[in-house]
Amino acid sequence: MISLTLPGDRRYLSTARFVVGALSTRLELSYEQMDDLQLAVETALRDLGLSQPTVTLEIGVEPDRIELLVGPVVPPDADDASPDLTPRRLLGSLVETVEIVERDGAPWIRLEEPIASGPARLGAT
Amino acid sequence: MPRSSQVSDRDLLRAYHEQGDESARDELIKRHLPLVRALALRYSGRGEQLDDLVQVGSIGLIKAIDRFDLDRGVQLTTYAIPTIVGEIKRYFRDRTWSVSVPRRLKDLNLTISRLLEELTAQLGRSPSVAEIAEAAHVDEEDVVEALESGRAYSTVLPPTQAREEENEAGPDPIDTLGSIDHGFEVSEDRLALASGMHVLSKRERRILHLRFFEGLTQSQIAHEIGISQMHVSRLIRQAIDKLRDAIEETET
Repeated sequence: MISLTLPGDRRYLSTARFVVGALSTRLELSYEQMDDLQLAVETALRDLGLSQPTVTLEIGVEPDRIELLVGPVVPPDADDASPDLTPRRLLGSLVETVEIVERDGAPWIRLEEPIASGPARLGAT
Repeated sequence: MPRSSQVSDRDLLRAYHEQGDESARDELIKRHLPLVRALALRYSGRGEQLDDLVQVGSIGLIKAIDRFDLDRGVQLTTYAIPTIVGEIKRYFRDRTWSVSVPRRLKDLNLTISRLLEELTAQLGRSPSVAEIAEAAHVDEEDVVEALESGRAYSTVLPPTQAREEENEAGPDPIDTLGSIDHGFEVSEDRLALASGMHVLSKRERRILHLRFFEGLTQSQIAHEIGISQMHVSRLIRQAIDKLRDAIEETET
């Protein structure tokens, strides 16, 4: 698992994007999938997490999926039918699963995206 | 001659706009400089001198005073705050771009954009970073770094420069369309309800609609609109940033 704790300051968003980009490269994800994951992480951090003094991004890789946890966050509006381009709608378009989970009494956002099998995947040879 | 602080902003604005009273303008500037300083303070500590930010913010204040419409039933401060904040943000965008992205990364970014199109057509799918790196004869890390620089480019580039560079790629295909798809027209009305959407161009609204409401992928949108996939990615981020800025300014 990769864990990255950043100050709640947008200047550090590029650090998170770099990490997701580097990991996506290692996983041999497509450019498009990498770009979507980077935008999802950026959205979760910037729109939901940066009001906190520090915010943590955890990334876990399973054989068939990548899981990203960001927290603590201010939970997004749950109204999927909103006509607005809300963080929830953005995230829901970029990754397959978006859910709020609780960690140490604080809300975190969990993002999950399936990944196709590839020879250079982490842990596979 | 100094004016009494009991003279309202509106009276001073009327004196300036209707009678050309420059001293009323000077008084308004002086009166609201503490507001500029307070806003500049919020953006200090990011590598720029507070005095520079106050100076830039003052330009925003002067613009607000000069452009204020007396017929609008709003306070000067309501109108001035987003203008001042906008000037400060523009200053950061201009400065950040000029110092942060080396030429080699700008060039590599352009190469990657071209290769992305070629490889997508050749492979019939979106290529991996490794495939792009191999075609560009660079390391994978260089590709990731160049892509990130492209993102910095899209978010910090001064709007006028961004428009100029967009124009280099030819006319906006949206502007050349002869008819409007009815489904899009309806959905665009719906989108227009969203706060901040008015700050987006027609093309940006359409791209956001296709990506986040219709569920099209970047490459599908690129095909639909007739621009490169990387350009779609760049426009999506740019549009989202514009929306965020608009919403933040509304909330200020």
